[in-house]
Amino acid sequence: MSSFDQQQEAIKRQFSSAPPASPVVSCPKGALTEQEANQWFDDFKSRKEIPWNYPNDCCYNRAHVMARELQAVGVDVGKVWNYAPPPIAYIANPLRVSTSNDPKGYVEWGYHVAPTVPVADSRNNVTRMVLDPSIAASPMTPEQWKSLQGQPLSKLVFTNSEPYYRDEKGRVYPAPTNDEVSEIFDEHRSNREKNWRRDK
Amino acid sequence: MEITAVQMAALSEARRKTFLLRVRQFIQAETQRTPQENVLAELFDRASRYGLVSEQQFAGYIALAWQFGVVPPASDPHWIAEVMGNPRLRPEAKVEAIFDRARLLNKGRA
Repeated sequence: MSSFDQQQEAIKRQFSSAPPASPVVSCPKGALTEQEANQWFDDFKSRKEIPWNYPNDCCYNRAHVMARELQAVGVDVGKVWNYAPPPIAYIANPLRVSTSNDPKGYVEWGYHVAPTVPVADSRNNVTRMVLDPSIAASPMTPEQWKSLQGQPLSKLVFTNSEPYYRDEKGRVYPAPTNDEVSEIFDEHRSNREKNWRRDK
Repeated sequence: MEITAVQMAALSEARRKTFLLRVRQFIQAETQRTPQENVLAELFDRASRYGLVSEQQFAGYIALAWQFGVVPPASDPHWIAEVMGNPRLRPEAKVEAIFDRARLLNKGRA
């Protein structure tokens, strides 16, 4: 038997970097396989420029960037919005998520947003899943995502990927430029530092 | 020409069989032993569940697991399962890592 070094070299010569039998060929148009959804999730989470560790703010910017990149490769991406119940939602009945990324150990929101993608299982049953590395460890169903936010009276609204921000009355706001999106990430990374310094 | 989902699935299955035949020939050439086809097919499915993507990654995992005596439905050895099930590792890093561990184990046998 040749050494494992030689075997690895031989594998690189004899096999390609293309999929052996594409698991996505029979996927409905615009959908991902479960593996692909997990890969996208992990890829996004590994991106240093995206402040995943600042759950206090920035969900709209993170969702925008993820949606834009998924859309660019043909994924039928949408967004899901979770609104705290009125009236004066943020004060009276906020969404609340436990997190080690805030000195208090939790964050509260009036709303939260993340991208959704259609995911096909091995029998081609398609389920829309949420990609939200800021609060989750893997893709999850919208209901699971909602329950993470600790507010049973909150309301989920599904949209296409277009709205950058959508308020609870349905008013939508267009996306900023790419430079502005980067600046918002810069600002939120800076805010995270300030948030932790304030606590000391 | 439009290709139906059924045709695409058949094409994919044919490609899978051809790929597994090539892996079998590769293992035969490397080890002078002949793996059973159904074992390779099971390892292929397991590799798919581990999130491997490319031919190189599939071939690497299947060849290595087979050489260490993995016969599904038996589990992978802990040192393989731990790496392959790590969601933080990209597919190519998983295969690289199990080959690194295999090299260490091989040194221990010398």
